[in-house]
Amino acid sequence: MLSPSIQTWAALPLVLGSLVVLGLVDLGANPQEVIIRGLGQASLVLLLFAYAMTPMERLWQGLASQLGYKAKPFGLVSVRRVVGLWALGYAVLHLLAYWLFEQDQDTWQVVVDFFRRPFVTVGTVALLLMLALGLTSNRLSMIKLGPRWKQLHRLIGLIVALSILHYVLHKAGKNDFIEPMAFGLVALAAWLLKFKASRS
Amino acid sequence: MDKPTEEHHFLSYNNFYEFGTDKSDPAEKAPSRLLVDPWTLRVEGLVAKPQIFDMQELLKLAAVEERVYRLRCVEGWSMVVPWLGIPLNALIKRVQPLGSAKYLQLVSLADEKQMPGLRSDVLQWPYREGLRMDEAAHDLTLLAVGAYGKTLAAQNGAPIRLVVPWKYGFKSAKSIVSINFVERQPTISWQKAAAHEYGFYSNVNPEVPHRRWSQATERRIGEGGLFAPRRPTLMFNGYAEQVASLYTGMDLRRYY
Repeated sequence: MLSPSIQTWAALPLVLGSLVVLGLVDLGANPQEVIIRGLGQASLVLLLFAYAMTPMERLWQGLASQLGYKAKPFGLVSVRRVVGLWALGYAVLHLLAYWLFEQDQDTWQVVVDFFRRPFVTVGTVALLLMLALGLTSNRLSMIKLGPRWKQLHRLIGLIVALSILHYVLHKAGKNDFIEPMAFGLVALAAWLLKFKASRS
Repeated sequence: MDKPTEEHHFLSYNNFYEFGTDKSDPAEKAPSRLLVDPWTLRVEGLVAKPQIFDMQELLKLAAVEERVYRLRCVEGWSMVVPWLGIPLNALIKRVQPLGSAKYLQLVSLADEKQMPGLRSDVLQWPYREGLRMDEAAHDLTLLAVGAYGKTLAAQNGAPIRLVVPWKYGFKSAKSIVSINFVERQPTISWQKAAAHEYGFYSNVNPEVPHRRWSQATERRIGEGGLFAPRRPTLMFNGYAEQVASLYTGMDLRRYY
């Protein structure tokens, strides 16, 4: 039950987006901006969710044993892969929407931006790393890469950090950091829990 | 002139950080909170005849006229707005600036009781803007009191705001309470927040990119469908013929 319900949740922005493209939902004066930002946020939320799954599962187990009973695994870890893939999907759509709406399909301009604008550089690097993880998130790659697979997939921490940095840099100059800070706090909490677990 | 933007976009998509940083905040919060009557505009500084104007006195300075202007936001979107207002120059003539007055500083209302956005330190309050004397006295520069044939709505900077159509939108300060004639170039709020991104002049210029995005094109709000192309941004927002001479010999990359 867990996987279908999480997948339904993950698909919501996509469904909403399709309704917008079909003209069934009005996004106000600047729909292109809402779409670009919405896709970026959907990707980041799911990415954080994937990142925080192991510590959340551990937290749940720890809480249960403190209360004196043995909890059944939540099964969060089993859906980590699919949630990560959803995050990747939204990140790709986020870049596509940027190319489509913000740069009027001018691919060269996106390349120029990559070198000229730090928030684009950071965001693209995060996306490329995510792509590497996505492409190797199958059993065959796990077998082929052996111990290196785990090393590669530890990069999710870096991807989370880069994605939040991308968000902060985009907001920089407006001094309005509440949203990226909220994401940052969740990421920090997850990282601390992971760090603690690796120590004990 | 381009076709005016639909009024409902003008009324719902606003930057007025005193009411919050979301585009929808001003329309949600300003109309029920902003007290526009009575309103006074204090005009002081290096002038022979400083005066505190109420709205009636202001409207007697010159006949209210309609001006359809392009409005280009520094964020890369634009609208076309039929403003109602009087030339700022009419007010300048009335107060008689001294020879030493070189700039105008315009200050917007900052009242925590009315403006929930002031709790956030996104900008230094009150919001301050400024113009060089020749820019302020230019015939295109308007003190707007209305738009679309009506009194200005709260979210658009009621009851009186500046409109300088060849500069990025943030230069057109809203809900102005004082104008101070000064000798030195005043620092404007956005310069204080991020001097490397926002300059005193902030003339619309497709060739000078913002730090985080190009200014070469713009999204015209409400024009075409979702997949409509952006428009090329025009030098001085299309008012080069009228205003380019104000900046002869100036390096517009340096004085952005």
